[in-house]
Amino acid sequence: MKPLIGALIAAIFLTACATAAVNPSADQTQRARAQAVRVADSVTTGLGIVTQVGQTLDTLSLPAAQRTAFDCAVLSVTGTSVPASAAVTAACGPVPLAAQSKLTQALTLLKTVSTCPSLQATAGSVLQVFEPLIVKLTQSGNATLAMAGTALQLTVSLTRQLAESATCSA
Amino acid sequence: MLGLTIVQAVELIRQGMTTAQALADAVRAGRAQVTAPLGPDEVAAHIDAAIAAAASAGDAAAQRIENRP
Repeated sequence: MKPLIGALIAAIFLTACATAAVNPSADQTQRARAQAVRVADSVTTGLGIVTQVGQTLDTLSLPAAQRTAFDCAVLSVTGTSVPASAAVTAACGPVPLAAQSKLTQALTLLKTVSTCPSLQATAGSVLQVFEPLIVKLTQSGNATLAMAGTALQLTVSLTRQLAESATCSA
Repeated sequence: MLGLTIVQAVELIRQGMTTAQALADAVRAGRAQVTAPLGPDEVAAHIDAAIAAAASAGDAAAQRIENRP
């Protein structure tokens, strides 16, 4: 009889654990959503830095090839809202449509997060997309671009820490 | 000498400070209790804004390439 009761208790416990894993609590969902909003806002901030660099890019004393390389790096992350022109494709190779870009796909996944582990995994994918741009900027050899790269790196690092923060898993 | 004007340098520093302030606020907010429930639509609105910003940055980059001789 005792083994049967023990097995029953174990079964109830395991069912409760499985249910909790499949159905996150309302509080956990709220925390994950709040973090998802912060990640999205940080991405918007990071893209603001990229836009700022773009606005000053052609005023910098940089070889045209280096300026184009930066723009191609941006395009590989963001894509374009309409199919890229022949000139752009000739300079950068195939450019995805914005809706199919890595960043948009990762951000779209972010909409569905309801738990902290899924948020952290998805936020990691979102932020990973910025790495090539950060490298391109910080290793450009130009003070302005390097400064912007550092700002972008700071944004990404702090956002990653925010997504991994204990607040989310509390 | 550094390839940027004073106005550009000031703008970048200002943007960096704004970014740092926004992130500091976000960290503080992250430590606070979530008080107002966030619905999926509100989350989606923030994410859609980021997606729109990405498309805009990409379109601007493509335009710059096309405008270069």
